Amino acid sequence: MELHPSEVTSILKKEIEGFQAATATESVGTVLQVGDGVARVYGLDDCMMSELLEFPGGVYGMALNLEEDNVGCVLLGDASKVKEGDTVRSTGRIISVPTGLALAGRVVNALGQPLDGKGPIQSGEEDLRPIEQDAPNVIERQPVKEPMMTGIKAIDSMIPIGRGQRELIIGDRQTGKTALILDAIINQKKTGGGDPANPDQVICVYVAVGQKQSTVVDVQRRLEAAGAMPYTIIVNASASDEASMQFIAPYAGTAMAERFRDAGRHVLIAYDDLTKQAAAYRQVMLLLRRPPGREAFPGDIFNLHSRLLERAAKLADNAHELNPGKYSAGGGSLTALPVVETQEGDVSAYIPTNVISITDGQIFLESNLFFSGVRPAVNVGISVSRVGGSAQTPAMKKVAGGLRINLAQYRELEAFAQFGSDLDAATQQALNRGARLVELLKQGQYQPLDNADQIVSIFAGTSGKLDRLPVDRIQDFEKGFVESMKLNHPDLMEELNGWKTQWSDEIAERVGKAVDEFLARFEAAA
Amino acid sequence: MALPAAASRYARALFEAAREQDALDRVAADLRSLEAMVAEPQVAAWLADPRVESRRKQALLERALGGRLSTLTAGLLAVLGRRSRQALLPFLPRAFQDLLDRHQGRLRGTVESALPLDDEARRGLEAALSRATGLEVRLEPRHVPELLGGVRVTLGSTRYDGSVRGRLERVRRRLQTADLGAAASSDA
Repeated sequence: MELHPSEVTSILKKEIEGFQAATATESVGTVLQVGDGVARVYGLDDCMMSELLEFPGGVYGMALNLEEDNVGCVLLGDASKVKEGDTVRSTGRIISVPTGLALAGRVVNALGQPLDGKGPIQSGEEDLRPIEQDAPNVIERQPVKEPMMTGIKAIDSMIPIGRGQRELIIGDRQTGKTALILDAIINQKKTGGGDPANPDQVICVYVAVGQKQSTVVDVQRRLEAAGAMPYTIIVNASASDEASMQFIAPYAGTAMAERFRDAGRHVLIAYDDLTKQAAAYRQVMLLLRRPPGREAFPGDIFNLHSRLLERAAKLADNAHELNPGKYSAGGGSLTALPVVETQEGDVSAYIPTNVISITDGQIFLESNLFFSGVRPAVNVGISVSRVGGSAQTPAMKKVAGGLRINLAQYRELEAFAQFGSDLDAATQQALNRGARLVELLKQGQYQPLDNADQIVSIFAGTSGKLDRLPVDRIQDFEKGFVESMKLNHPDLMEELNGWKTQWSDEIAERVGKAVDEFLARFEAAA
Repeated sequence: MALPAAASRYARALFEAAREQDALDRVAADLRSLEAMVAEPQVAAWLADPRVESRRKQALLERALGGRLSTLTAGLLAVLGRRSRQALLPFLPRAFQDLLDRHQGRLRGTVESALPLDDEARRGLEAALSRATGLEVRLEPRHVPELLGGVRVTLGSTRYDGSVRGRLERVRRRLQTADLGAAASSDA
């Protein structure tokens, strides 16, 4: 940004002209006690809940407990600058963050301040939005209807996510939760060519809560390498930041995302992860002496997550007519992918059950699968998408229809097959099919696939044409087959990439023939 | 400063008793003389010292104050002594004064000024603020050279800042958040 001396002068001139203006009235208080990132303040009679308070030295705080004779607040900055007896000023504002296209491609903290060394965020006063907002009400919403494609076969085929849905990603540490989100973000490049100004481009927001700083750097590098950074905002409240920052980061990220949703755009937001946010919230609340409940979490821990995730929505097409003050266009969506980390696969712990009950489904990643080479390590049995089915493309829906049942049968029979005794033909066939489907659903990291690629390779598996092929050659086959389809049938692939394309008998026949042809060549080459 | 919760309970009890017996002024005067004594940090520390027996504190207090106290105030000391609550004594005059002020529609505050304020100016301010708040405002003057000029009045948790320092502070805040692009375009 260029600074012109004349601009500075004009501001100074205005200030000096208005210098004799009337006295300012403000609400003040005195710091009684400060420590562990929280402070108690005496005074501040008309303080509001969640109001931003200003401490000396440019440190801000947020009022969280309004008590009879004092206000409990968290400090959003260097607590060592605040002393007992300091004067606290109330600002009359709720914490707000900058929003808008200026943030695309940037890494910011929970207050929207840049962390990436690329200069100040070019946004004005009118771009500020309070981090806490009301969720869209009943009439402003509609059911999800468009697919939010992740480019991951196992998910788009069996656990489809719709735009405006909330799909939980849950699993132990090191099971590929963040990798899955990165693939989904990278895949959004296909929606608008990666240009954030293109109205079709899905904007992505990655909120890192309590992550290692190195992980966040890695995420940023990966997204940059894949060309996904221009349409992505990273909100980072890392493990070394204050607990208060960690707990407001998801709200800040959502406020940034909502700006686009309310303008009719589509947004994908990932919270990585809410377990750490809950722990940060617990820390702050215990220090403020709120009574602890189960696992020492405060009583409103459920509301902490539900009010956040309720803000994900598919807006009605006429939302801007119903509430012109809030929405500038209808039909926008905010898809949320919250992440929850489990301990030893225990999904019945407090936070996992809470978030499972709030979301519209969950993708469960299992370390057993991960270590046996099934990556992404999605446990198909207990992963569900409660609303995404209506957003799946018709062709994918048709082709992937039998996939889930086939795999369920396979998992069941697999246990029996361990005994190795004579198996009847039907069982043998189900086992064969299952093993090949599992192989087919494996997918490398940072390789999100087009809808058409997924459809044709899943079709090859579910149609039974691969049952003769050795299991260890399935992945090679798939790679070659998709290549050859793109080369020899570009029109067909183009058509299958469309959201509306039906899986007609004609298409089925053409793809079937292509599979047979390629299979013949593939087997001959071996 | 915030009061210990117990201090406000004792103060309220004393206040109610004094009001019923129509002895508010007498008790207030007692407490003012008491305040001068217990405001000494050494006295306050001695009162709060758990190693000193409550009976000894009581005896010494009685000897120091003699028969100068009204029955109600003497009663308060006795009650505090019986419950070993003498540590609350330094807080009571203030708590009682707050209750009395509220009862009489009075509001106490401070006025800080860069130059010592003369009585006339202070009374002018008090009159103006009394009109504005509808309560009888009493200001305690303080001399704070750091303000550079003007005055700053604090009433409860509301601060009316008319000092030069406050204005400079506001200019600084404005400059830090000023939208340079907007200023340039509005000038053009």
